[in-house]
Amino acid sequence: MLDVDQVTKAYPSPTGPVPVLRSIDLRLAPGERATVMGPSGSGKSTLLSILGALDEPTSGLVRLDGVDPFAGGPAERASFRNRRIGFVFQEHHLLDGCTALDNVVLPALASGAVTGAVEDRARRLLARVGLAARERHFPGELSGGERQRVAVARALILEPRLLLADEPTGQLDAHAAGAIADLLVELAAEVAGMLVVVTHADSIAARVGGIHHLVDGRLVAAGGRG
Amino acid sequence: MSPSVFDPPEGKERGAGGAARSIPALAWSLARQWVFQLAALTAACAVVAATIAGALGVGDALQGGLRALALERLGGIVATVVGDDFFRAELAREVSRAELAREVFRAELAREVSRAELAREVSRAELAREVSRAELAREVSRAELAPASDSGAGSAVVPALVLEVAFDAPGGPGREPRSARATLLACDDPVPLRFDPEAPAVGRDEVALNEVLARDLGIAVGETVVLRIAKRSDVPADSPLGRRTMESLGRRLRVTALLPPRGLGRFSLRPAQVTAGMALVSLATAQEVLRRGDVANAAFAIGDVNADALRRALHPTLEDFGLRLEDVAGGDTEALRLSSRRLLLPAEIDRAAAEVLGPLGGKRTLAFLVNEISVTASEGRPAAAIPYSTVLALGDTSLPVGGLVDDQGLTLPLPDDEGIVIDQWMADDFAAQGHPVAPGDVVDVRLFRSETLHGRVEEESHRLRITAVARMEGAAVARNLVPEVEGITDEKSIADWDPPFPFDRSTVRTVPPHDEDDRYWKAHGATPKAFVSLACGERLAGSRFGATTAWFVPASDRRAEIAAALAAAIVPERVGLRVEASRADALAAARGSTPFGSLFLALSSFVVVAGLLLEWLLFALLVAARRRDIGVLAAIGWPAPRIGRLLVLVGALAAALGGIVGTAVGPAWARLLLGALSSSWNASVAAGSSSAFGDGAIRWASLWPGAVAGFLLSMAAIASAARSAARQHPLALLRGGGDLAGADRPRAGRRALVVAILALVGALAVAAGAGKFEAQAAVGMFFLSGILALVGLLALVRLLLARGPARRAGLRSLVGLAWRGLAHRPSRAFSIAAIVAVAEFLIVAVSAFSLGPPARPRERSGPTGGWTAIATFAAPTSVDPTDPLVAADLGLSDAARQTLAGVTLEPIRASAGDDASCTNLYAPARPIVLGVGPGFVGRGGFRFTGHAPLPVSTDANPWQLLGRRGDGPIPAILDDATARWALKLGGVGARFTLPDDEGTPVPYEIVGLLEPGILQGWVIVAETDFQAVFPSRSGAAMALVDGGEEPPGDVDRAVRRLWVDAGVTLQPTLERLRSLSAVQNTFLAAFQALGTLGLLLGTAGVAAAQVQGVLERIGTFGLLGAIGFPPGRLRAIVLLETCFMVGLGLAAGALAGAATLPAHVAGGRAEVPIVWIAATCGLTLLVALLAGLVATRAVARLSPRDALAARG
Repeated sequence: MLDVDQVTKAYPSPTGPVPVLRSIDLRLAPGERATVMGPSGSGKSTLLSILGALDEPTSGLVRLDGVDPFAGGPAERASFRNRRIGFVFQEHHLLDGCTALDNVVLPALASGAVTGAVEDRARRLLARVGLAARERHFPGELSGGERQRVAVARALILEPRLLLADEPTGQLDAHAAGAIADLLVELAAEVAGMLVVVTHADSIAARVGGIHHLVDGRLVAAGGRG
Repeated sequence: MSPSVFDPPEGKERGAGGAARSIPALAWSLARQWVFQLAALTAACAVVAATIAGALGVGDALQGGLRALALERLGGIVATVVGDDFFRAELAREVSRAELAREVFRAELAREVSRAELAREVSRAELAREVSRAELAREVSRAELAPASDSGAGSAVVPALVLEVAFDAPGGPGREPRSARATLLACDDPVPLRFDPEAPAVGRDEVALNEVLARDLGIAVGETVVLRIAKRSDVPADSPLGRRTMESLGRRLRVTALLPPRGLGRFSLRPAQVTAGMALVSLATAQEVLRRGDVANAAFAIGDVNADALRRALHPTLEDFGLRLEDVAGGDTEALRLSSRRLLLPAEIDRAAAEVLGPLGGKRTLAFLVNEISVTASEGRPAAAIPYSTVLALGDTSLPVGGLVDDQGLTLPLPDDEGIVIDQWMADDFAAQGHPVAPGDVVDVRLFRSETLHGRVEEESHRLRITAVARMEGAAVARNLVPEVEGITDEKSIADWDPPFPFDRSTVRTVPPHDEDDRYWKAHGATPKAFVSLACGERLAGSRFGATTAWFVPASDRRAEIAAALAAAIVPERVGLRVEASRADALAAARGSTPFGSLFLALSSFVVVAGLLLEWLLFALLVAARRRDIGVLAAIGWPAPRIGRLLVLVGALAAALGGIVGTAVGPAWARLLLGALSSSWNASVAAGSSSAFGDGAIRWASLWPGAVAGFLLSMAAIASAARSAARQHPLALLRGGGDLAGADRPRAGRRALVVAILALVGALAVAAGAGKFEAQAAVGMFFLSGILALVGLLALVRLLLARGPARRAGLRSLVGLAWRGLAHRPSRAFSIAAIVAVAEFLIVAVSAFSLGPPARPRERSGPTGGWTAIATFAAPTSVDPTDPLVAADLGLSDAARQTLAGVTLEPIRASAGDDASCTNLYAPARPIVLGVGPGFVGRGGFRFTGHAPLPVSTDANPWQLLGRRGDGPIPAILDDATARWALKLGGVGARFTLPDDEGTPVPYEIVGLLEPGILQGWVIVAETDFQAVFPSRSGAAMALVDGGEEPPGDVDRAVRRLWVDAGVTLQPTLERLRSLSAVQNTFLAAFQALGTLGLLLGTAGVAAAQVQGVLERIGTFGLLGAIGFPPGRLRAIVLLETCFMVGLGLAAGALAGAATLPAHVAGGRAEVPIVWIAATCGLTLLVALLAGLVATRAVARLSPRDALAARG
């Protein structure tokens, strides 16, 4: 269960704090998905960063399965991210010096060594995203869509409770974007409990469902749920 | 996001006038943006420039220091008249100021005239005539005015005595008696010598000691010391009539002043940086001790004068050459006799006498003493013998003092070369002994060899045929045919003889009725009893000291005129009276010393290489950080060379600024090096030599080449980095990929593999071949092997990095992740590893050259040759330690005799000259030649680095190669380092010349080179060759001592007692070895310091690369943070990368350095400083890890979100 309660975020400026998010409330039950849409600068990525414990809210509460990621220090937060969150960024953020397989197993290294089981799972994931034959390829040898699939596989390697995707198809053509969106939905259903996608694209939003709009810092459900 | 190249510098808005309209303008704009990165690059360039400038500064300061010290030692002395023997002090006073001035002007005039002549030859005749006429007129008028002019007015010649003496400080309550050797300067008025500070006045029986001597003696002002001067024998000690036992002349003196270690306190006529003991007394005091009247053995010319002018102004008399031309009465005639106080006339005097006295009817004679003339028993006649007779060799039986006549009064013919004329007294004596002789009979003549053999007299016998019996008149009764010999001719009775040779009194008939010998002595003194031809005489008694005892000239009232003509005909240098250009020689020695600038430049080359690698790395990092900007330029169509030029221009700003800063810092670095060298030299090599290292004054003129070189080298490094950046594909730059494109990796890997294989195979081959070379060459071979190993190992590192982890190897651990991070930028990682490796190699390889004491000091094949001490003498001695009579004469105790019986002593002859060992910083103009006897040669010892082929008969002892065969050059053996470096002579087979005492060049050939040992700095030849080259030098100047099993203290006491009158100083061989090794170790310490500096540079490079690398990859770390890597694991990645880079460098450097060790370890004296090596490795790793930690702190502080944003 993801429980976001009255979360606000403001950035300091010479003229006083600039609010970005205002009293955000969001609840997702296991298996639920949400899409966050809004114009550039509306705070979509900020919200995603707070959900992924990459950024702290100015006020409000975030709980995932009852755990407040901001209650501990940086190490606990890192562990939280590692165990419970899977991230897919707009930029694929793969390590250039690592092969596709290496990039997928990378999260496992955050808390220990890569075991054979992890590697097997990584292979299965790569196969699942259609890259079984490219596991020894470096990012420079992959297309943009392929790199993003590797990033998806990496996000799911430790079977996170919450999969977050920030404009995952922003740099892809419509066909590749659709394929990635379908993949996210499928894998989120198979592996992760919940999925939150930030996107501009209506087609992606339609595939993911649970559409919310960020308007003036407030999250408004497309169906009127706030 | 970092600002783009097109962004205005912080705080500045780009106005219309601020647009970058040219490459320099754009470069300037970039430089302002990249100011912090450029600051690091500037610092690296400054280090390179400072290192080069510092090395040059060391050379300049050292040469300046040596020059200043050389001049300080001499005060105002410009030239010196030096006598091997004493000359009249008046000789110096006779060189008038006016005459000196005239000589100076004459030399100038000659120079100007020759210039005018040259001009006439090469120019138009008319013009040249005008020029020469005008110049000549001017010079003639100047010359005419010269005596009255001021020039030369400050010139003077000061007589002095400069002697090697010994001082004794008496013991007292709580104080042991002490002795020390010193240079004595006896000079009536030292003030004109212009020492600074001015010399104190010393009165009669007073002495001023320099502080070194006072410290050695433990003496203070007001106390008394005993001055001891070894008494010289006028007659060469190597001839039978020369005294081989020594005595010293002493005088108690009161110490009135201590001379500070400046100016006169450092006085020395020989360039050496060490201040030895010296003392100043008045000339009168020293002359009284010597008891030779108003004599000197040196005369110092000061002021506006030079050696040539002094030489021309010097007009020695016969007395200055130790000669006398005196009226002597013969039987009934008078004549002039030319004789020498040295008994034998040197060849040069003979030549001059033949030239001057020959035309006046001068006759040459050689008088010599025979131990016995005997006839053997025959035909019923008993044997008969006459002891101790003088024989005269002559070229003509009509001598000016009277001829040889028969009983008829007719002049006897000269005997042939196998004949002898005996006088009537001898004939009568034989008859009285029952064996009458007549012409045709043979006699046996027994006498000592004309030269001692290794310090001992030996008898030989010759059989001559009597050709006539001379009547007792004319030459047969001319007492003055034989010059005076102390202890013989001055005795009233033959029974009172006190000769220097073994004298068998039992054979002399002095007791009536058989007192024939004594009666003859009383009647005729040393008058010859027999006469031979000159050829026969030369065969029997001629020697290297001469073959004439007197010239006889018919009496003349022109004696003074003849004496003057004779003195003028003698070339002073050939009889040991030289004029030395003291000041010019000292300056030449300072100029020609070891080129320390070049040496330190060579030593610093490793640091420069490390610095250049660092520059390359820093600039590459800078460019890498801005590669997206460069990618934009490339993408919009800038050609690669243009981008390269832009980058080079940016780097040039840093290189120029760094060059200026480095050159400014260079002198400080030089002073630091000099300070360290000076204190190390002072402590380990020779105390009191710190002044030679200069006062820190460094001329800027010596630094600018360093600035230029530093700038150019830095530009080369920067250009290389810029070129490689500019050649990258625009897309690779825009993507911000690694520094080696994927397609280039296999090629780079193959290239590295080929280099690695070639270099490592080469290293193994060289190491395997090194075993076949002699030790010194083997060391060089192993060093080369080490360098090849370094290249090979670094190529392997490069290969490892270029290949990266195998694609099939999965990522299993942080180690793998760190390795992938490094392999992604292999050039950067490689350059850091290379910097560290080069520095570590230098430390390990060089430290192996460090020398310790030999493991087995008594081993004859070791650096001591098995000798335990070296004895050196203030005055050459002929005291034969193995002669039982010597022990009795010296009053040695039974214990001392017993000790000496177990000790091996090997006296060694030595010429005058300069110390050519590495402890002397000055260039040796004339190295000391040692003459070693058969005892030394037979014993052998020491280890050779190479020698000429040995004949089968030499029993594999290369020392037996000594000894001239035929007319070839003199075989010589030298220490390898002395031959190759100090004297720059070359290896075995090299030929060179050295001047003999007359200045004539004598050819030598190197037949053997020794490993470093106690014989360093000397040219060693056979004693026989030494005597041939230096005929006037008698006695040993030093001796080697092998204490055997005797207690060292007893040996020390016994040897000192044995040679006490020679002013003996004993130095344990291990101490000398330590002093010599300390030179090498001092330079090695400097090497190590520079290696450590290189390592620090490497570490700085690691730190810079780490910080830059982390900042550059901040997005990556952000990603890792985003996916849950805790800060600790992020740090671990950076630290692991550091360990890889530094560890690889250290391992490659240490392994390659270790390849150089076998030769040293086999030599037995290598001291590999394992602790030091481990410490430098550990410190480097520690600093690098700390730098990595600092870098990751910045990462830890960043939120993963911001870090990710930076990656974007």
